[in-house]
Amino acid sequence: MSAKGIFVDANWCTGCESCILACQQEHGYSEKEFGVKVFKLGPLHINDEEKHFEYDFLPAFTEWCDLCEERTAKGKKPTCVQHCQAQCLDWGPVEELAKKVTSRKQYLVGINE
Amino acid sequence: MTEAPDTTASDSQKAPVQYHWGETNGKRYKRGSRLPKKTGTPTPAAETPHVPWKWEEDGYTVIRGTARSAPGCHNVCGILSYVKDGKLVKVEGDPEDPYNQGRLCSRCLCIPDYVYSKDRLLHPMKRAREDRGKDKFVQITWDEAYDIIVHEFKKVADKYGVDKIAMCQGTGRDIHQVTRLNACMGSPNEGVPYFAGNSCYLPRIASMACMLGGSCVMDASQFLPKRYDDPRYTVPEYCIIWGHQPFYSNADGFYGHWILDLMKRGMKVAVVDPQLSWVAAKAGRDWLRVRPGGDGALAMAMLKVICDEQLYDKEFCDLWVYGLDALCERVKEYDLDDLCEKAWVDKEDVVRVARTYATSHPAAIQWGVALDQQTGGQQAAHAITAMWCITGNLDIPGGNVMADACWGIEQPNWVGTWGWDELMDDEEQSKRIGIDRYPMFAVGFKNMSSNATIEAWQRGEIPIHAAYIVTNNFLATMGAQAETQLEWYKQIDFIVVEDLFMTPTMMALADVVLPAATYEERDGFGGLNAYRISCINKAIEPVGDSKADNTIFLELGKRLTDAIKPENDDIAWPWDNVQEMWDYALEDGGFTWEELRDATWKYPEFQYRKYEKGLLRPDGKPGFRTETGRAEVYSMVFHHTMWSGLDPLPSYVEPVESPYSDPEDAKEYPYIVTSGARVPHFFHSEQRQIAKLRALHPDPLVYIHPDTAAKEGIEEGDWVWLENKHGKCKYKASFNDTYDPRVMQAEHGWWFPERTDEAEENTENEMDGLFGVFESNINNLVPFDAGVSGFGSNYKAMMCKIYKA
Repeated sequence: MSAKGIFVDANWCTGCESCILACQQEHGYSEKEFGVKVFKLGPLHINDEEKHFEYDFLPAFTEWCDLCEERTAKGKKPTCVQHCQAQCLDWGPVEELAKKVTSRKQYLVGINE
Repeated sequence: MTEAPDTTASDSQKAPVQYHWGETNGKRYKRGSRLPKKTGTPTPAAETPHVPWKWEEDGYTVIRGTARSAPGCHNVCGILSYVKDGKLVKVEGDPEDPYNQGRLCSRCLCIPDYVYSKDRLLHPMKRAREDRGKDKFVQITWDEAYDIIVHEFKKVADKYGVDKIAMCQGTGRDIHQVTRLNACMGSPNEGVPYFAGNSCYLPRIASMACMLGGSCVMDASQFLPKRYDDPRYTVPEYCIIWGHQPFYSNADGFYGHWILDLMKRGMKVAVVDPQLSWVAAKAGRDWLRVRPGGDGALAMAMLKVICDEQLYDKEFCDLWVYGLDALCERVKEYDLDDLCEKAWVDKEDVVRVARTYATSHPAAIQWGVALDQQTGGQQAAHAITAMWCITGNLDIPGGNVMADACWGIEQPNWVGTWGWDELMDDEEQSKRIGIDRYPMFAVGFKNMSSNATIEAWQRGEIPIHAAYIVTNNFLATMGAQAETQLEWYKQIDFIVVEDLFMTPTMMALADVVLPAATYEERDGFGGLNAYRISCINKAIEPVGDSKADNTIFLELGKRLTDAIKPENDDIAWPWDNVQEMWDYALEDGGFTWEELRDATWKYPEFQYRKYEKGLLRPDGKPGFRTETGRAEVYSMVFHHTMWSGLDPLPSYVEPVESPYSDPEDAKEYPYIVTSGARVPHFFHSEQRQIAKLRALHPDPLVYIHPDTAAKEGIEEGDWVWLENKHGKCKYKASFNDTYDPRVMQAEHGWWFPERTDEAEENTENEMDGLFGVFESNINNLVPFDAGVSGFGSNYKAMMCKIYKA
């Protein structure tokens, strides 16, 4: 069976952090436990003349993430994927997800290796 | 080609009240209105699906419903509540709901923590007036609470007049029936009297009402259940996001991430914001880093470019707009270089964004509260509304569309006038505070004027003798110079505070405390948007003795009516329970509350270009509900009230206490600070006690340019004082080098519920137990002045200095 994982399209992550709360509530975690955390990159001054900044929010996944085994067994999406307000997360077999990665702001994490 | 509008609109303000009998579920109710009775009911949208509202799933009972409210929120997201053994376990977004499409923000996901918080208020309480500020509350029953309120309100009505009883609200909770609670007694005074300049959305709504006879909202396909896939919809080519943080604030019934949905579908954005927000970074050169308070100058600059270069839609204006020529003359009075200099935005950028907006079809403007929070904001709103009128982006797919009360249902309407005409006579209505002072409040807009109230306090009068404060923690959120205002409110004879937690405002002022319930604990329906009506379905029994706001109003309303204005007994609150009240409220939609629950949500058939079809005016003729029948960029309402200083045409009014209006003070206070920098996890002063949310944002922050910080000897993470002539406040410094070094932004709504020891042990000094509410309170710096309109005080444009704490 191939590894499953999560695809992040950070072109669109707005930093709303819904994923963090969705994960905590699904798993009964406390405020000190989370399957996903969002980091801020920038704003970096790429070209001030053009007002070109690099300013991104980057979700990262921890050992507390189990890819919502219980939910996915019932045919549901992982809760972070469903609740992501920017709809910038996806999940599935990594081979499938890899086809979606076309820019430096998109990345893939294998979780059920 | 469409027929030009008739120019003889009926003036609904002067029409007599017409009574008629409505019938709901076999019961007959007397109703009254100055508007003609609508005939027929709107056609439901054909695509509205039929989905179950309750089912069993893996040992859970799942209840489908709507998340509004409490806690406070301006949206009506579809949710699924998972309940086991009578306990709410989790909440998920409803993937089938067109509104949020399965998504949910952190605050709603955290609802079980909120419902079962150890800090929830569980019982009604009372406290002797001399113990205000001290933790000496005593638990009482609902009957006792109601008896005290009725007794005290009656006393005030007899002694000072019923108009001295004010219903004081906040925002975000489904409490619009509160207007009926004051009307049933004969008091016209309802509003946000502590909120200088009524500075949230009302300035924009009132401006639009004066120009268009209604209000507009950006069209993100939210009126159509098939959303972006509906063939009638067009994605805007360009959108100006102005003074607004859509993804974190979800303001005014607009789900912020709809903007993102449209960007994914090709919409380009310009962003007017002093902050490089995430979306501003996506705007590239079209990020306009406006001076806080400079929005009026920027709006006039854009309008000038559009008019001078004749980029307006001439054919549309000829048919539907009143005052284009006068507007073109008006903008000639302004110098573009001067406007851009005052706005702190490069002329090249202003010209480009104005041209792009005017030449993109369709184009939209999604604006926010920043425009309401500066003197001159009302005039800026006038200018911006004129932009979408003269470019023909009015009421077209992907533009800014006219949004009337959904299904014609008046009860959840934004302007909140339920019961106004049928329960009060002209004499009672005439006692509304501020209608003589600020005429914009007299023209179809039923709030009391905050600034007229504040001016009365300042003169040493006592304008309010009894207050019913619901959904509001004004010492932490909207109260400009809250410490001064607290001293005023302490003079009020009797105060009720209705909320879910012991807030600083409640601790400081409540004589009676009423514990409200969350949306999980009550039935109802989601209002405050024009798109659809959706059902709030009770998932669990209320925690403790808490009750839904609406239930409290119904139960208390009956008693207050009978004690104070018994002639309203038959018509004010004739319902045996809340469901009957909902049936009555929904009558104009042609369905009952149970029918709504069976459908979960109901969209009426939405129409674009309603002005062509006679759908905006009571007489059914084409055009707008205005004196000229046109969209009035030259407003006849302002024309008739020019004596007050209102201007019929868009103008640029420099805010008070700015570097340009007060250059002397600018030497001592060289920086400009805004309040209300948005955090996604808090709705104003709420959620500070919810551990998971607070963990993501533990401290009150001020965002500051590192060069400014270095100059003032401040390092990142330092606690700093912000100060001006009105007061000071303490924040933690967070660096960001994309700000103008002269500008900083502070968060609002901060108090520290964890400081319970202070409160609980405090039975002596009334100021010590208020959970630190005056400490990190940016409102300490806010001037009261709201200019000639009475709308818009400088919550987002205060002069200040900064130094290390």
